[in-house]
Amino acid sequence: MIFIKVFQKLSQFSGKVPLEHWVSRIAVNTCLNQIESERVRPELRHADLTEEERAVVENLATSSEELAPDQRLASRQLVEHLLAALKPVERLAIDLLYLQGRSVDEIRKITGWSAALIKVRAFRARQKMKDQLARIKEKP
Amino acid sequence: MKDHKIDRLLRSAAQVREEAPSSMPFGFDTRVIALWHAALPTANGVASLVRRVALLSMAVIVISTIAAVREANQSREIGESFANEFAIADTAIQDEFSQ
Repeated sequence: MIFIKVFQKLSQFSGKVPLEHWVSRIAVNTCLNQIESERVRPELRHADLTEEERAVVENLATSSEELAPDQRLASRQLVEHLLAALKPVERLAIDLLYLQGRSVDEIRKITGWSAALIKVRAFRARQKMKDQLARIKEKP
Repeated sequence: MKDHKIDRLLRSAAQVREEAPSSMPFGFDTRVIALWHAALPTANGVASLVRRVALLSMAVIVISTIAAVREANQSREIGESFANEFAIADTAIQDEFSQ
Protein backbone atom coordinates (compact mmCIF):
# COMPACT_ATOMS: atom_id res chain seq x y z
CA MET A 1 0.00 0.00 0.00
CA ILE A 2 2.83 2.36 0.90
CA PHE A 3 4.74 1.59 -2.28
CA ILE A 4 1.62 2.12 -4.37
CA LYS A 5 1.20 5.51 -2.72
CA VAL A 6 4.84 6.31 -3.46
CA PHE A 7 4.25 5.64 -7.15
CA GLN A 8 1.00 7.60 -7.10
CA LYS A 9 2.62 10.63 -5.46
CA LEU A 10 5.79 10.49 -7.52
CA SER A 11 4.98 13.76 -9.24
CA GLN A 12 5.10 15.49 -5.83
CA PHE A 13 8.69 14.39 -5.16
CA SER A 14 10.78 17.53 -5.47
CA GLY A 15 14.16 15.79 -5.37
CA LYS A 16 15.33 18.29 -2.71
CA VAL A 17 15.27 15.71 0.12
CA PRO A 18 16.74 12.18 0.05
CA LEU A 19 14.36 9.57 -1.34
CA GLU A 20 14.48 7.55 1.90
CA HIS A 21 13.13 10.49 3.91
CA TRP A 22 10.39 11.16 1.40
CA VAL A 23 9.33 7.50 1.36
CA SER A 24 9.39 7.29 5.16
CA ARG A 25 7.16 10.39 5.43
CA ILE A 26 4.62 8.71 3.14
CA ALA A 27 4.90 5.48 5.14
CA VAL A 28 4.35 7.31 8.42
CA ASN A 29 1.35 9.24 7.14
CA THR A 30 -0.20 6.16 5.53
CA CYS A 31 0.15 4.13 8.72
CA LEU A 32 -1.22 6.94 10.88
CA ASN A 33 -4.25 7.31 8.61
CA GLN A 34 -4.81 3.56 8.70
CA ILE A 35 -4.63 3.42 12.50
CA GLU A 36 -6.83 6.53 12.77
CA SER A 37 -9.47 4.82 10.69
CA GLU A 38 -9.60 1.88 13.10
CA ARG A 39 -12.22 1.95 15.81
CA VAL A 40 -11.25 2.82 19.36
CA ARG A 41 -10.52 -0.35 21.22
CA PRO A 42 -12.24 -1.07 24.55
CA GLU A 43 -10.30 -0.51 27.74
CA LEU A 44 -7.89 -3.28 28.61
CA ARG A 45 -8.80 -5.38 31.65
CA HIS A 46 -6.86 -7.77 33.79
CA ALA A 47 -9.02 -10.65 32.55
CA ASP A 48 -8.04 -9.87 28.94
CA LEU A 49 -4.40 -10.59 29.66
CA THR A 50 -2.70 -13.95 29.23
CA GLU A 51 -1.10 -15.73 32.18
CA GLU A 52 2.32 -14.54 31.08
CA GLU A 53 1.18 -10.94 30.72
CA ARG A 54 -0.39 -11.05 34.18
CA ALA A 55 2.91 -12.37 35.53
CA VAL A 56 4.66 -9.39 33.96
CA VAL A 57 2.17 -6.97 35.55
CA GLU A 58 2.68 -8.70 38.90
CA ASN A 59 6.44 -8.58 38.53
CA LEU A 60 6.38 -4.86 37.70
CA ALA A 61 4.29 -4.17 40.81
CA THR A 62 6.25 -6.26 43.28
CA SER A 63 9.85 -6.01 42.10
CA SER A 64 12.12 -3.20 40.99
CA GLU A 65 14.50 -5.46 39.07
CA GLU A 66 14.66 -5.88 35.31
CA LEU A 67 12.22 -8.37 33.83
CA ALA A 68 13.60 -11.84 33.18
CA PRO A 69 14.52 -12.78 29.58
CA ASP A 70 11.70 -15.35 29.47
CA GLN A 71 9.21 -12.55 30.12
CA ARG A 72 10.30 -10.47 27.15
CA LEU A 73 7.72 -11.83 24.76
CA ALA A 74 4.91 -11.35 27.28
CA SER A 75 6.11 -7.84 28.04
CA ARG A 76 6.10 -7.08 24.34
CA GLN A 77 2.52 -8.34 24.05
CA LEU A 78 1.51 -6.30 27.08
CA VAL A 79 3.09 -3.19 25.57
CA GLU A 80 1.20 -3.88 22.31
CA HIS A 81 -2.04 -4.03 24.32
CA LEU A 82 -1.23 -0.76 26.09
CA LEU A 83 -0.22 0.92 22.83
CA ALA A 84 -3.50 -0.07 21.19
CA ALA A 85 -5.37 2.30 23.49
CA LEU A 86 -3.17 5.28 22.61
CA LYS A 87 -3.54 7.80 19.83
CA PRO A 88 -1.72 6.75 16.66
CA VAL A 89 0.84 9.55 16.97
CA GLU A 90 1.57 8.61 20.58
CA ARG A 91 1.84 4.95 19.59
CA LEU A 92 4.32 5.88 16.90
CA ALA A 93 6.37 8.01 19.28
CA ILE A 94 6.70 5.14 21.78
CA ASP A 95 7.43 2.60 19.07
CA LEU A 96 10.19 4.64 17.45
CA LEU A 97 11.72 6.01 20.63
CA TYR A 98 11.58 3.03 22.99
CA LEU A 99 10.86 -0.13 21.02
CA GLN A 100 13.02 0.62 18.00
CA GLY A 101 15.50 2.62 20.07
CA ARG A 102 15.79 5.48 17.58
CA SER A 103 17.19 8.88 18.54
CA VAL A 104 15.04 12.01 18.64
CA ASP A 105 16.95 13.32 15.64
CA GLU A 106 16.19 10.18 13.63
CA ILE A 107 12.50 10.37 14.55
CA ARG A 108 12.50 14.03 13.57
CA LYS A 109 13.75 13.07 10.10
CA ILE A 110 11.32 10.17 9.75
CA THR A 111 8.17 11.92 10.94
CA GLY A 112 8.88 15.57 10.31
CA TRP A 113 7.88 16.40 13.89
CA SER A 114 9.93 18.81 15.98
CA ALA A 115 12.11 17.47 18.80
CA ALA A 116 9.84 19.13 21.38
CA LEU A 117 6.74 17.54 19.85
CA ILE A 118 8.34 14.10 19.90
CA LYS A 119 9.20 14.46 23.59
CA VAL A 120 5.75 15.77 24.48
CA ARG A 121 4.01 12.93 22.64
CA ALA A 122 6.29 10.32 24.21
CA PHE A 123 5.71 11.81 27.66
CA ARG A 124 1.92 11.83 27.27
CA ALA A 125 1.97 8.30 25.91
CA ARG A 126 4.04 7.09 28.86
CA GLN A 127 1.63 8.76 31.27
CA LYS A 128 -1.33 7.06 29.62
CA MET A 129 0.42 3.71 29.66
CA LYS A 130 1.25 4.17 33.32
CA ASP A 131 -2.39 5.04 34.16
CA GLN A 132 -3.64 2.09 32.17
CA LEU A 133 -1.23 -0.26 33.90
CA ALA A 134 -2.42 1.03 37.28
CA ARG A 135 -6.06 0.48 36.27
CA ILE A 136 -5.34 -3.08 35.19
CA LYS A 137 -3.91 -3.76 38.63
CA GLU A 138 -6.86 -2.09 40.38
CA LYS A 139 -9.63 -3.80 38.37
CA PRO A 140 -8.99 -7.52 38.15
CA MET B 1 9.79 11.95 38.01
CA LYS B 2 10.38 9.00 35.74
CA ASP B 3 8.17 5.99 36.00
CA HIS B 4 10.51 3.04 36.35
CA LYS B 5 7.81 0.41 35.81
CA ILE B 6 7.10 1.69 32.32
CA ASP B 7 10.82 2.00 31.65
CA ARG B 8 11.42 -1.60 32.69
CA LEU B 9 8.46 -2.81 30.67
CA LEU B 10 9.56 -0.92 27.54
CA ARG B 11 13.17 -2.03 27.91
CA SER B 12 12.07 -5.64 28.14
CA ALA B 13 9.66 -5.29 25.22
CA ALA B 14 12.36 -3.67 23.09
CA GLN B 15 14.47 -6.82 23.39
CA VAL B 16 11.96 -8.62 21.17
CA ARG B 17 12.91 -7.54 17.71
CA GLU B 18 10.40 -7.65 14.91
CA GLU B 19 11.87 -9.06 11.76
CA ALA B 20 10.36 -6.50 9.45
CA PRO B 21 12.60 -5.61 6.51
CA SER B 22 13.78 -2.04 6.95
CA SER B 23 15.08 -1.63 3.42
CA MET B 24 13.19 -0.94 0.25
CA PRO B 25 12.56 -3.80 -2.22
CA PHE B 26 15.42 -4.49 -4.60
CA GLY B 27 15.59 -1.93 -7.39
CA PHE B 28 12.71 0.08 -6.02
CA ASP B 29 14.64 3.32 -5.59
CA THR B 30 16.09 3.01 -9.09
CA ARG B 31 12.62 2.63 -10.57
CA VAL B 32 11.28 5.57 -8.58
CA ILE B 33 14.15 7.82 -9.62
CA ALA B 34 13.80 6.72 -13.26
CA LEU B 35 10.06 7.40 -13.25
CA TRP B 36 10.61 10.71 -11.52
CA HIS B 37 13.14 11.75 -14.18
CA ALA B 38 10.74 10.69 -16.91
CA ALA B 39 7.92 12.66 -15.30
CA LEU B 40 9.95 15.84 -14.93
CA PRO B 41 8.46 18.66 -17.05
CA THR B 42 10.58 19.47 -20.10
CA ALA B 43 11.93 22.99 -20.45
CA ASN B 44 9.64 25.33 -22.41
CA GLY B 45 10.50 26.71 -25.87
CA VAL B 46 11.88 30.08 -24.80
CA ALA B 47 14.20 28.65 -22.14
CA SER B 48 15.48 26.06 -24.57
CA LEU B 49 16.09 28.71 -27.25
CA VAL B 50 17.91 30.99 -24.82
CA ARG B 51 20.10 28.09 -23.70
CA ARG B 52 20.94 27.19 -27.30
CA VAL B 53 21.74 30.82 -28.20
CA ALA B 54 23.96 31.13 -25.12
CA LEU B 55 25.84 27.92 -26.00
CA LEU B 56 26.24 28.99 -29.62
CA SER B 57 27.47 32.44 -28.61
CA MET B 58 29.97 30.91 -26.24
CA ALA B 59 31.26 28.63 -28.97
CA VAL B 60 31.59 31.56 -31.41
CA ILE B 61 33.44 33.65 -28.82
CA VAL B 62 35.87 30.83 -28.05
CA ILE B 63 36.57 30.13 -31.76
CA SER B 64 36.98 33.84 -32.53
CA THR B 65 39.39 34.32 -29.65
CA ILE B 66 41.53 31.36 -30.76
CA ALA B 67 41.54 32.64 -34.36
CA ALA B 68 42.47 36.18 -33.28
CA VAL B 69 45.36 34.96 -31.13
CA ARG B 70 46.71 32.77 -33.97
CA GLU B 71 46.37 35.61 -36.44
CA ALA B 72 48.22 37.99 -34.13
CA ASN B 73 51.04 35.48 -33.66
CA GLN B 74 51.38 34.88 -37.41
CA SER B 75 51.46 38.58 -38.32
CA ARG B 76 54.10 39.23 -35.67
CA GLU B 77 56.28 36.41 -37.09
CA ILE B 78 55.87 37.77 -40.66
CA GLY B 79 56.72 41.28 -39.49
CA GLU B 80 59.84 40.03 -37.76
CA SER B 81 60.99 38.08 -40.86
CA PHE B 82 60.46 41.14 -43.08
CA ALA B 83 62.44 43.27 -40.68
CA ASN B 84 65.36 40.85 -40.90
CA GLU B 85 65.25 40.81 -44.70
CA PHE B 86 65.25 44.61 -44.83
CA ALA B 87 68.23 44.73 -42.50
CA ILE B 88 70.18 42.24 -44.66
CA ALA B 89 69.34 44.15 -47.82
CA ASP B 90 70.31 47.44 -46.24
CA THR B 91 73.64 46.05 -45.08
CA ALA B 92 74.32 44.61 -48.54
CA ILE B 93 73.56 47.93 -50.25
CA GLN B 94 75.76 49.80 -47.81
CA ASP B 95 78.61 47.35 -48.48
CA GLU B 96 78.15 47.73 -52.22
CA PHE B 97 78.33 51.53 -52.03
CA SER B 98 81.29 51.56 -49.70
CA GLN B 99 83.32 49.48 -52.20
